[in-house]
Amino acid sequence: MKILVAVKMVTDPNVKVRALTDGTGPDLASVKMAMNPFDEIAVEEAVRLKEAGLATEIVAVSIGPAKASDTLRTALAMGADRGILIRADQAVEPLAVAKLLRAVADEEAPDLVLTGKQAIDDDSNQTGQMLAALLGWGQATFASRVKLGDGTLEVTREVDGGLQTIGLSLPAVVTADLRLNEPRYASLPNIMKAKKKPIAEKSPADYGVSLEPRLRVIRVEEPPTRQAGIKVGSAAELVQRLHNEAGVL
Amino acid sequence: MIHADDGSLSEEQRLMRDSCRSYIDDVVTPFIRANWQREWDMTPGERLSPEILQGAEQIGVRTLGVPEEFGGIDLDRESEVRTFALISEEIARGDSGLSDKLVQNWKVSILLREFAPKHLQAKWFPRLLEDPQFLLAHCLTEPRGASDRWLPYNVPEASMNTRAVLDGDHWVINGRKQFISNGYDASLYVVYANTNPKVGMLQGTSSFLVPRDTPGFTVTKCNETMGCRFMNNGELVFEDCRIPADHLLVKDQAMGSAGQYFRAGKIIQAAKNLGVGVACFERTADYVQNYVQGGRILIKHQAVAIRLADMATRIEAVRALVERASKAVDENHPDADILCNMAKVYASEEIMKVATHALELHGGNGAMLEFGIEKLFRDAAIFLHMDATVDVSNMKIIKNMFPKTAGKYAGPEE
Amino acid sequence: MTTLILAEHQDNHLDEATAKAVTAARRIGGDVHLLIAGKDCRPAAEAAARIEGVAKVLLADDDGLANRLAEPVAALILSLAGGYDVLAAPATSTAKNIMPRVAALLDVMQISDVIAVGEDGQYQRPIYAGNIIQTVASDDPKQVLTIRASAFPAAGQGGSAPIETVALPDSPRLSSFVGNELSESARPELGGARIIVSGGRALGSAENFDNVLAPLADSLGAAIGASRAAVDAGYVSNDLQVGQTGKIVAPDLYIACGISGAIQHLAGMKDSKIIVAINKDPEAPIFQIADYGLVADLFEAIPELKSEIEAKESA
Repeated sequence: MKILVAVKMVTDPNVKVRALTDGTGPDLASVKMAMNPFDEIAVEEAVRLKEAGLATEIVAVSIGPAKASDTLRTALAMGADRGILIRADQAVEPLAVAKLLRAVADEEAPDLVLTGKQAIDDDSNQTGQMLAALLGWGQATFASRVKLGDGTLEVTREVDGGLQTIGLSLPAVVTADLRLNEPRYASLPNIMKAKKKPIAEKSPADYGVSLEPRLRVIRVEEPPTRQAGIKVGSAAELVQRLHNEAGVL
Repeated sequence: MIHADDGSLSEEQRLMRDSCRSYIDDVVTPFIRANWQREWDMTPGERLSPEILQGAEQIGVRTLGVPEEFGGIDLDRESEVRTFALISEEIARGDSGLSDKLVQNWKVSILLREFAPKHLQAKWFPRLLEDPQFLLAHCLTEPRGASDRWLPYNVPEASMNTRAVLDGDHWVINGRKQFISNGYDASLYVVYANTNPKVGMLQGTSSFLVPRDTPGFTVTKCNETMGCRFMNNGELVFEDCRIPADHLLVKDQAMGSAGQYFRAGKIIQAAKNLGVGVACFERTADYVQNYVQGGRILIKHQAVAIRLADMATRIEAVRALVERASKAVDENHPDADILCNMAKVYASEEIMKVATHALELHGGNGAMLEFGIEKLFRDAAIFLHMDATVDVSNMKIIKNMFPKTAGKYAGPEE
Repeated sequence: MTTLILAEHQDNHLDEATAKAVTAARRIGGDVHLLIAGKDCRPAAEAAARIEGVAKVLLADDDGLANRLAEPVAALILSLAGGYDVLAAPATSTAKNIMPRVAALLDVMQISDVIAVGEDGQYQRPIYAGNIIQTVASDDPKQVLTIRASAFPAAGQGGSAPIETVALPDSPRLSSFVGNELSESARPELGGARIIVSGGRALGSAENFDNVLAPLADSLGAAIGASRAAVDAGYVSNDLQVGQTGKIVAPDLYIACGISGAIQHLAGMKDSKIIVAINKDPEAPIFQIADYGLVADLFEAIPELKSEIEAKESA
């Protein structure tokens, strides 16, 4: 069984990103980049399926600038077998990402596509669902447990009211939520070993997909910042202030 | 700024650095934050937190320097020391004591890789790899002195007090070692001892491999240090300690071959120091952008901005020198000995100033246990002494720069 | 201009998020229709018909729509899409699952998590965990939106829209429902609560959530929330997680107990009217956005707070 894992290079989740003062976009100069945390969980799940003998090959694919090869290399160090980098220097909308991934899936014919439920930069939460739609496959989003059977899949999903379990037949698209697993670190020895694994470089034109954006970004700005308030000395003072000043009690 | 420029690193170096950073941010920093007020109450055992060592194991950072044929990994040799610097800085950014604990393993592993006979490598490297608690130590310093005593005088009187004598098929070691990094916790020790009392130290010192459970070898004490407290520094005693003759590493010329260890060691020392400086800067930059005094955040006060700029500038200057020196060591440049000592001594003095600024900019909070800045200050201070004092390092620089004059051992002018 | 909103409901009951999405849709302009898709869901459709400003309710009641799996609901919306300019839904886990599927099949780029509707078809949405607000406009012939319910007031009651039934088109069955493990709680639901008491990993155990935090919540009639760390540690179930990728809330009062304030958590609660933080670490980032901070041990401060509140109420 072959698994395709889609990974995105995003800003480090611990960094608070600010808007450029001219309002044209986020200020990403000198911001550290990293693999989208949800995609890391997706890679980990694929590697565990392979370690359990349920998968035979893991192909990691990323769409982004040259530096996104770091993200792919991390996936390879975690245990993916080979990588595909589709070079795109501009921001790519989820719809175009889904179209590129469909083209890769057509070529690679995976039994399962795994990816994160959401990228923490644009917070769109669309790609997996769109890809499933374009492929005409079933989808299991926000997965917190994946059980692979013979040509079937049982996935427990994190939903607003708790958990929902659904069944699917393969091929299918699964998007990972936080509690699906705890991803391993790319260990230093495995980083050295991953150096020998291949990464194929492609362009969107190779797949005949246009990256022309559908949304026009008019401006970006930072929301009004909340100022730190005051420190209170005791629970009693807190209750007084919530009642008298804030009027919420 | 402040951190290493990604453009100067190979892809592997970047990924290794990132992996270490995740480990530090996820595991080490939360542990340190939760425990820095307890630094003075923790037992030596508590300082070896299993979660931290397990994490170190997951990223495979304990066993760098172990060759691939024994299950380790070969870093690119042409940038090995630079990689060590990068990783030790990253770990020290989380905790310098932890960094010290781990780098000791790399330094000793390199020494073993270069000088230990194959059968000893085949015996000890696999044990090092399989036990997450397995640490190594390098034992040079004695109660009567270290390089301060040996460096000026290559005469029999200034030799090591620890002696090793061959008795049949065993070496018998007697003496004491002190201020040994990992001394309290290590499983395997490289021990230096005098094997020829008639000549100077450079010609009469041998090195041996001593397993912890060897009869006659005792760990007598865990030193309570002012900084780097998560590394357990120890005192060792050898009383008729018999080790098999084949555990000899280098006969008589061990001090010369230890250079392999010293050079990388100085760079790593400077890099750990840099990590403490980066932690000081990050914490302080965050603090002054969030705390308000006189109605505006601290960073908008010019006096604060000046100090912060000074911190950043010193860090960048240290980084530039560390990078140049590590490149010189990796390339075996003739000036490598000079540069690695320069990097070590400069880092220790400059980062001390950076830590002082951090303390000052935190105001009263800087002095409080609960803010953790005083810990960084103590961690910075200990580097002035660790792996040679400032004065001894400076002496080494001049001896190497002027070998014909300063390099000669003291005595009557010829 | 007509908007179709996929309503959030539990078949026999309509969620308040739907009325909030109606407010957003009315700001876009034109008629607003609601789609109730489910099984035995006429009660929800009747509740939907009473929302002020709703012109029509479409009711699709079908076995194939039970549990609102993505594939059949998306097929249903697609079959209706021809008559609409805007397809929208409150950004619940159900809609987040379904709407991108609809958008892709219409070859439309979805606008996720709309927090404001502006002039000329402009929408605002948070990116980078809410640290940046992006204003976008769509060039697609149709628009597909998800609406962040906490950013809009609920539309009023008093409407009487007609209910029209629609049929689920045939579509391949790609997934099947196996089971639910839904949390049962007598406390208010996170999304609609006026007060939320939220706990972090510092609470230390599930028992402490029950024995220390819950009594405070109950004395305030509050909902309980949690940080990711507390959910990951297994102290509470996933549906209580507040944050960038969990529940986004904006109550009148949010009391964060033992929560350090990671960017991802702040993203889920920083629009609360009043924020209180209780933490023993004076450097915890949560204090930077809290209106009232109390540096104290949780296990002393929370019971004290509870007795102070009860004393206030009985006074």
